[in-house]
This record gives sequence, structure tokens and C-alpha cells, in this order.
Amino acid sequence: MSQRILLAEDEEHIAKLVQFKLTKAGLDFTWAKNGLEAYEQIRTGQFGLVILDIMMPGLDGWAVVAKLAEEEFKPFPRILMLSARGFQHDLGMAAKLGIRHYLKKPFDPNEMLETVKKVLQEPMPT
Amino acid sequence: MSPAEKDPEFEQLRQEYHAALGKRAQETQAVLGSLSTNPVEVDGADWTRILYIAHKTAGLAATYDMPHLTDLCAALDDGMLGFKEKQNAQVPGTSFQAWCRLLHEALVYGSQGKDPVHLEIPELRG
Repeated sequence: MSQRILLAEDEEHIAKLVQFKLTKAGLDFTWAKNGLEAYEQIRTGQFGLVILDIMMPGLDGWAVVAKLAEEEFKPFPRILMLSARGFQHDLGMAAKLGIRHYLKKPFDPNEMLETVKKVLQEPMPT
Repeated sequence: MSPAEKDPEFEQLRQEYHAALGKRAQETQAVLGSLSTNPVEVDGADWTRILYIAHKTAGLAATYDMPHLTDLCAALDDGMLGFKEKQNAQVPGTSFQAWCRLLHEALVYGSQGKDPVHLEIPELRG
């Protein structure tokens, strides 16, 4: 089961922070700067977890998940959505796309790492 | 948030973030400059850019010990978005100018590593 992690995030300073925490914890980390890049990376099938920002230029986080779901892409990675807006705002989309894991920004880096570790322990979506 | 990381690498990231806030302050200054010559009309690109800066700043400032900057930018982000959605009309240039000015001042403070607690969280009425 792949433990490789992809972060899809257009804010460089969040990406650097996540990279700092994950690589220090010995985790394999790749950064996609926008939704399209994330979509293309995910389709290589090498990632077990995608940390996906919602608000990105071009293809946003929800569009990436919807596109993969529409294509019935497998192996579908575990998804951890990131958003600065309240989860309530996105509950409908999350339910529709079967997304269960959500981290609100700004996050505590240690809590982010613990959440990532927890999600990585779950089985991959079927 | 957890107590600040006492890691030189984390501190380096913090300094880089402060520098980035300085660059964002320069962008807001540029928008204010164009508004000063034509305060009535709000340029769509300027609106989008200011909203983006507020949104992205809200999503990270508190992680680097500036929670008030997060709250202020989140209020601007939510308020501006809500204003546009409800009003469905041209936003008054004078209102946009005031929001830009507030964001600019907050970013200047943030670029110095200071949380702009003296600035009141705005209530944007749409």
C-alpha cells in the first residue's frame, strides 16, 4: 500500500511548511502547485494520500476529485481536503464525493502531521 | 496552536513568510495606487487579486503566530465574497478602497512579524 504523499497547494509557504513536517517525519512528499498538476500526478497511480487544497486557480480541489471519480480512477488515493473556509461550507460537496477527511487552515503543523499519519493507516478507498 | 517550533528550519520558514507578506503588501499598495486615480470603478482583476491575498493570508498567518491577521483576512475574504454574491452589482469603489487599505496595513504589520491586533476586524455588509 503506497505511503507516498502528494500535496496539491498553490500557496508556496504552506507547501514548504508541510514539506518540512512530513520529510522530518520520514514521509515521502511531492508537491503539485495547482489542480491540473495534481490531477496528472495522481493519475500516475503512485500516491497513497493526496492532501488537496480546495481553492486553487484553474482546477480546484473538488474538481480534481470529481474528475477522478468520473473516470472511476483506480487506485483512488486517500484524500485529505484542506480549506481556509469552514467545513460547513463544503459539507455538501464532501458528502457527494465521499470525502471524509478535512483539515481547516490555518492548521497546527503538529496536528497536521498526526492527521496525515492517521489517514495513512486507513485502507485505501475501494 | 502548539507552542512555536524551536527549530531553526521552522524559524527560517517563518522569516520567509514575513517576507512574502511584505510582497503582498506591495501588491495591495499597487491596487490602492490605481484606486486613488479612479476610486469609483473596481477593476475585476484587482478584486480577484485582493480576495485571493486575503484568502491565502487567512489560511496561514495564525500558524506563524499571527491569529489576528488570520481573523482579519478571513473576515475580508468571507465578507467580500458574500458581498459580491448578495449584491450582484458593482461594489462601491470607496468600500473596496477601505478594505484594501485595511488589508495593506495588516500585511505591512505582518511583514514585520507583528500580529496587527490594533486593527479592528471589519464587518462587511453585503
